[in-house]
Amino acid sequence: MKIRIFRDLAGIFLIYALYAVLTVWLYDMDLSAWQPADIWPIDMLAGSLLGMLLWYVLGEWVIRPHASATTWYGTWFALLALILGWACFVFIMESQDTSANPNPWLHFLGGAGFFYLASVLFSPLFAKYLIWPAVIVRKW
Amino acid sequence: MSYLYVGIGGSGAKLMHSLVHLTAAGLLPEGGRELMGFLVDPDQSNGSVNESIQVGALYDRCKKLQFGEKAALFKNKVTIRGPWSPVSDIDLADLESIFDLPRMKRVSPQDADLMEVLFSPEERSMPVLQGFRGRPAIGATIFGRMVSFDDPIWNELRNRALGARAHGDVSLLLAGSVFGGSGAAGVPTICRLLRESLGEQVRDLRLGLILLLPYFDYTKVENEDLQADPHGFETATAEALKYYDERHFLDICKAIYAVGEHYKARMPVPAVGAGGQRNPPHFVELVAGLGAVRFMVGGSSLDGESVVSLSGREGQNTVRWADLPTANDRHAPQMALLQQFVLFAVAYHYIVYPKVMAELHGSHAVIDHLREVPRDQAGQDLTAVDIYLTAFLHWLLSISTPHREGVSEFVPGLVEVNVFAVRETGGWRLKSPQEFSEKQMGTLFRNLEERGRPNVRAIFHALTQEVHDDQARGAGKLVRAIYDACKLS
Repeated sequence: MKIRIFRDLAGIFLIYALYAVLTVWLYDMDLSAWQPADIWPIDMLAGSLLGMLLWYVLGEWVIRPHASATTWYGTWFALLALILGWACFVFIMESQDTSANPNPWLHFLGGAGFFYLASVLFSPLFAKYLIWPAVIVRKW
Repeated sequence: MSYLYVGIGGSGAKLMHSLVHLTAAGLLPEGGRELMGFLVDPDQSNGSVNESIQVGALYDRCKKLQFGEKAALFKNKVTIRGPWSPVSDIDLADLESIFDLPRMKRVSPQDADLMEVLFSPEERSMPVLQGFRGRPAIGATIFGRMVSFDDPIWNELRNRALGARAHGDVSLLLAGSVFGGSGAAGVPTICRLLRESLGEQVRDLRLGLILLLPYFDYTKVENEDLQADPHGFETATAEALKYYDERHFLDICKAIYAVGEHYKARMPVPAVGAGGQRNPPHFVELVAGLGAVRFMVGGSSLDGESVVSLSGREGQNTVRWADLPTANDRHAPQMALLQQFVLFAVAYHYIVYPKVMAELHGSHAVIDHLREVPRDQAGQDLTAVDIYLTAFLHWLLSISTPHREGVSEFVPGLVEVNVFAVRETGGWRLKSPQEFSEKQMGTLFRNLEERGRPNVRAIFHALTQEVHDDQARGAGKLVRAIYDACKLS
């Protein structure tokens, strides 16, 4: 069981590493020279990652393994809604920052999209086939 | 090669029932040996006999699944033959008819006179199709005349015993009550007949007896003049044990187990026979079953000396795991198997099976073991296991809650029955899966402080693990995974 959890968490962090690379590229960040406006995309990534980790923790240790599909879907969509809400907040705050160059598509599509991708590939054990098309792609 | 068991009368059949469950739990010592049961009862519609045969059929259905070579679960084949009745012809349904008393008076008048001296007219004309009604003398006379190795069932028993010679010892166990009719009559009579028939041909014949002493009583059945009298059970028992001693049965048998209970259980429905005689299972049958397992393990004597073993319990109103008797060094592993099977039955019936069936035609981690398995067949196989385990839970509930009158109420000492059962007026019943609360699962076992408490989440996680047994296939692989997940730490 521990190997599986380690593998899943490693996979989640790998996916969010791709999100980070995409963010750096789209925002043309200079990693050696920190800009205050860089905080917004990082906040969005962190919020999405936190949502995904919360999904994993809840699925692995809180939600009953044999809970109904309603419970599982309800939890996942609630977290997705929180991530989208967080994206709204980040976009609003970024828009008010005159030094920032808002990229709403990355916040909404990236935040939700990478959450979705990580869910397809690395959802906790008893939700591993929940998010389509996990039943097709997930053989582990 | 088989473990051979002959169950005589209703109590012998109830012990067969108990043995089937102990076999399902993996307590028989050798997986490759079949448990072959022969039931003997003049009452072919005896409720206890029919129940035993039904459980045997459910077991047989489960045995068809492939749980793997190393699985303790259902590892032995179980076959139940019978019931054989010494009286199958309705025209020969009493002592007078069987011995043809009118002809005997002409041909052998002294024998006829002896019969008339030994048996009253009522006894000679008493119908025996529903048993011997607590009159073992009638039963012994009839068994002595009617048991024949030309009969298919006895012929098969003899052939099994002869066939087992090449593999070493031939273990043959007989069981029945000493206080009723069929068991009291049949056990000593059939034991002697088998000894005479097999003794010279089978050098390593190990005969064993399980004598069930009084452990239940009942109110008199109305409108029945001839019936077993519960108030006479103790006297009948004393006479029976004296008979076994005077006839030197300890010289014939390698082991004799006498099991009884001081505080009798009151049977709910008194009946002289047929389907009405269906006494609920009792913990004495579990103890006797463990004695049977001990006999099959072997080693009843120490260096050829006879051994007297005593088994008792600490509290008069309960039976705990520590009280259950086993062979000397096997208590821990055998109790572990039994506890694992109990947890498996509860977890499977109430939690896992409903979830598996709900997801059977979809995709879920709990059915990953069924990836290449046709789902309809898997569903049928899984349902067969559930039906068997439901029967097991009924048995477990019954042995945990014997109804006693006039003494303090019996306290279940093995399991907390409220986890899987509900008390109602007149007794207990199993909970439905909807009534079951998994929060109580941790309290399933009583008097087991040294073992870990069952955890539903841990069971679910464990059942998704790989089954390291190439012979586990199909739905059997999933069942095996569930069973392995129920091992208490």
